[in-house]
Amino acid sequence: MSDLSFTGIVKSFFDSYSKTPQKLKIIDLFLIYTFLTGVIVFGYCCLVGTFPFNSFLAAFISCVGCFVLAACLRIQINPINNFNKTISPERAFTDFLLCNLILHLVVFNFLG
Amino acid sequence: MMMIKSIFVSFIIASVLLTSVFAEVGGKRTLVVLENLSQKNLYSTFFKTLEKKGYELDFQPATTEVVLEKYGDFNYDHLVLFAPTLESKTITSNAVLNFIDGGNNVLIAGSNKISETIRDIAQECGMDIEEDNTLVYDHFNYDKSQPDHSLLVADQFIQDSPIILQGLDKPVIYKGIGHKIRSNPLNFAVLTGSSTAYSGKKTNGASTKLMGKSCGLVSSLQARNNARVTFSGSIELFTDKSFGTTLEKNQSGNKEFVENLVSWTFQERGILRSSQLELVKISTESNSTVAPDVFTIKDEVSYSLKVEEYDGVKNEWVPYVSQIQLEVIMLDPYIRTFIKGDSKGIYKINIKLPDVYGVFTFEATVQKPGYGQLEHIIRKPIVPFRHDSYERFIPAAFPYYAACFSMIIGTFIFSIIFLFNKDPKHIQI
Repeated sequence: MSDLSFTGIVKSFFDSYSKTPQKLKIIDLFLIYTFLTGVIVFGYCCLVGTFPFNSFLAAFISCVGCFVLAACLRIQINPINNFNKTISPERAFTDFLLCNLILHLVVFNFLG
Repeated sequence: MMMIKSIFVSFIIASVLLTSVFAEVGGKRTLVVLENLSQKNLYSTFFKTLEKKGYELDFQPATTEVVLEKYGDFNYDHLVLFAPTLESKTITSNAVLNFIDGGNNVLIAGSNKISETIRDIAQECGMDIEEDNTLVYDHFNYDKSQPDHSLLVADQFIQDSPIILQGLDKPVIYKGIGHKIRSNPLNFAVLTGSSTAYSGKKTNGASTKLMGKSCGLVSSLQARNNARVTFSGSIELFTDKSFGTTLEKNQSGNKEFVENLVSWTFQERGILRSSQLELVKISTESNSTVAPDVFTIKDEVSYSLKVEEYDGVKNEWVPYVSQIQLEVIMLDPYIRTFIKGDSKGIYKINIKLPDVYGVFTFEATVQKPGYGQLEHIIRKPIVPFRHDSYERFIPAAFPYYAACFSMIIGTFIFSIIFLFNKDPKHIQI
């Protein structure tokens, strides 16, 4: 039987997470990084006001977009989801890069 | 030869243009229509003052056949109708209204019998004259030396207006018919009855509906083309006899009142014109390279206009020193402001344009009773910021730029690590 106390849950989470492939762990790290940057951008906007609103939007969209694309990449290469029959990991990664290119074209157009 | 000819032609054109501009005010040709020419002596003082001012008076009886207009040109600049029972073949109500539409002035005097012609003209000018055989009575303010209660002593003059110059406080003698003026921004009651006056039938004195201050004695119309029409219900107002009447030891105010009234009616004052409009951009919030005369939203502009008033005595234009209203309109007025003029008649103000783009109308107006129409309109488009007119590299936005670049660099580093990472053998993707 599993342990339902808080420490037990945390422990079982780390146990099962250690079995996760390392590539997914790298993606997770990147996800945390983009998330934190987004939070900082939003906090800065709350602090100084929305004056260059387009710049704020560009920065925030850039963070959110990177997060979403990385999350999609993680879903597509995760062996549990059985995507590898239709989408190979190489193709998923190329999609990720191309979408990033388009995203940042838009972002820099908007940045002002 | 050709050159001399072309100079000659351009000189003719220039002189025609000049006359068409300056023929508007300051004309002196006056037609005076009397019941019959022998009545001229009744108003001799009045006519003498006019002649002294340079007016060329042409006296005609009520049965006259002179024409006011010939081939589109007016033969007279002013018309004095001292013939209440006027029924002329040539001076019809249509002819007189046409005369007014041409920017000329009319002074009408009535008595207790008024012809249809005069009634039509007054009607068209916003004044409803009472029926025939009525007079204005006042049992409190009448000439106490006479038993006649219709010989009014009136002192309800219009205030704050160039029609009657301030400082006129002597009451005037008035005997005649009353009228009502329609509520209309172009009509002014110059002299009304006091609150105890009423209009009554001459036979039995029975009151009609017109009474108190709404009972007009002398009223004016300031038309949009600067033409002026004054109607006085009493022709006695202008007689030598009333000029010389004494009221409780004081001379009656008729002479001064009539002088003021006629000089205003004949456009000697209160005619405005504007010139020297300057509308320039002072500063702009846009970072743009567009031409300096193109206004963008939120620009600060300077508006300056010179307004002059015609002085008929000196026959020249003098600065009009007062206040004008400026509106910046696109369907609704986005800005409405009042500008005070300096001693040279220059009205200057700096305004910040609204944060809305479109075609705007800058409209400067003077709306004061007794002053002529002044409407200076100029339309200007106000354009939005162009894509390149926004401010760039604002210090406050640097953290945002940093965030964007960190995302790119982050993605790049992530890609390298992701590609060159080798998973341990036991957990392969």
